[in-house]
Amino acid sequence: MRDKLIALLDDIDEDIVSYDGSNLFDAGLLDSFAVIEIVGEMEKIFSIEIKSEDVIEKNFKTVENMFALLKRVMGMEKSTNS
Amino acid sequence: MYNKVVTDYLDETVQRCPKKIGFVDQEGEVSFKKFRDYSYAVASEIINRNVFKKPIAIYLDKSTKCLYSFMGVVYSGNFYTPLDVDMPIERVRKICEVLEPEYIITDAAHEDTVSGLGVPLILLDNLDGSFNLEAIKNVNRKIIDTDLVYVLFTSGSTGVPKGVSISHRNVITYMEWSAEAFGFNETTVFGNQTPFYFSMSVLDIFQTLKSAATINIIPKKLFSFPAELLEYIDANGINTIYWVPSALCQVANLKALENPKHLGKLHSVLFAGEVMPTKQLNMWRRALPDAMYANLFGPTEVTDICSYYILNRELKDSESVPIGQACDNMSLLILNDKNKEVKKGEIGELCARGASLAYGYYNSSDKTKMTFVQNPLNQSYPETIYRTGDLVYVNELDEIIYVSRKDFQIKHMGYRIELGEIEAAVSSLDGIQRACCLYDKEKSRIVLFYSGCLEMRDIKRGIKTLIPKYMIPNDFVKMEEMPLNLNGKIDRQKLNNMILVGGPNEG
Repeated sequence: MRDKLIALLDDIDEDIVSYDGSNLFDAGLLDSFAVIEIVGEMEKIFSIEIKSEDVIEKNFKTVENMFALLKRVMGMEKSTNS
Repeated sequence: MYNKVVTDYLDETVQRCPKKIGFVDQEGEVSFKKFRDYSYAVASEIINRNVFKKPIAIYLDKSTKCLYSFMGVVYSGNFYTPLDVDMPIERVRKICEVLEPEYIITDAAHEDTVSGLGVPLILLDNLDGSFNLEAIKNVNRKIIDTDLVYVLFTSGSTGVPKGVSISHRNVITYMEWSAEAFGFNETTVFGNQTPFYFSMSVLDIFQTLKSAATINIIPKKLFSFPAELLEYIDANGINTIYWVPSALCQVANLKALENPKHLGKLHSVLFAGEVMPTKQLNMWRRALPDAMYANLFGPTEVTDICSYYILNRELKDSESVPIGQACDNMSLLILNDKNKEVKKGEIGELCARGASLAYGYYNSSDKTKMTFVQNPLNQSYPETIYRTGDLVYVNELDEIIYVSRKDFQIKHMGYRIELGEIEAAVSSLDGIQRACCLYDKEKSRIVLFYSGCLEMRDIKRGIKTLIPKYMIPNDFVKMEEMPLNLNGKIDRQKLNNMILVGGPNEG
């Protein structure tokens, strides 16, 4: 799952993946267009739905935070399905 | 009283309500009086250097500081060009080559970035806030309404950006019409979204000065997060927005309108810059039924807007939003390929004439002559019209409806882009043979078809230093060979069909 997320981000901009700071937005690597793209791709690749209240800065400011969001949303979907 | 120059608006507003907060950004609030003092300080610095009627570029983050630098330049009798701090420095260099600015106004944070351009700098950090009012008044007497206020650069099809030259008269015409049409006044609080190098911001900025309104510069980051954006709008009392449809759609698509508890004060929603999808507009109208919605239309070459439509009826999701009728003191012609006016219902090219028509492109008379032309319906005296390149028709309700472009200009996320500029950047890379860009309107994606030995990441890395981020293609299709038509040119139609049939390969 992590590999797929990394591959998705790498396609958008390889600098996102290599960035090791604390906020991709402040670094100018993410903007609103990229966020739509990432949300759309995540929903498609992982067959999930990301709600508007989850589209907040905290969840997207680093690759780790995006991964945490992904795990959380996927975990929730699993538990509601079972 | 009739206003001659745009700073008259600021002078009147300072006289009327000096203490009113006119400007809000992340640094804080600034009153009109303070704002003018800051502008005066910038103006004095320039006047001391003895320049008049010359271009001065501004390289600053989007902020109140940026706005008083604009007005400082105007008070000094010169004209400004805002430069995007996010664009590659190579493109800044290209703009400077066309503009030949006397100075670049910047601050310590950006000094290193622009110091290599060979243009002298004025550092805001070095100003002590003092000004010489008498010198400013003396200069002001020499400024007339046909002098330039600013030059805004827009994408050029050969890869060189074009600088649209706008006068005091142009801006004043635009402001007098828009204040009347939309009823702006001192209670108006603009939530500014559009960048200052983009013509739409002209309304937010100059209407703030004219109507003693307030401009709140919304942090760019918030446009990624609709829920937080709406909270910000509510908390800051923003009641008027003039945004690109992409920004409005972002809010609608990420479902932030489903629970619109934060939209209470918003009463005017204006948009321009690209086609507004009716489906998302209807989502807004359902969430906020009592607001005024208006579709504004026009290129930078008419200052910003030449036609407009205030929504006055229900539109089906499948109907397009009309671009309406001409603004006050502007006139529109729709011409066929024989330069005759079309009949109602027939498609033709939209052409504009009137007092907000720009002079043309700065230092580019050849490019100017191609689109700023003599009115073909008038053989008797010189009268310029601007050929917009937009194809339109008039419906049964006498509303103008936009159809498409005549050429390869696109609107992507609200940005005006010549596909030729992207192609020029890609073609300049070693290892590329041919390159052709198309726009997939359905999916809002820029698709690059190319032949050569490079892979997607090589191309992305290469063009990142040449063109702004919003021009970077979304899809890359490597071709063994480019399809050619009978004239030996790249067959765009064939490539377009590839998009329409199952779409290019993913990623």
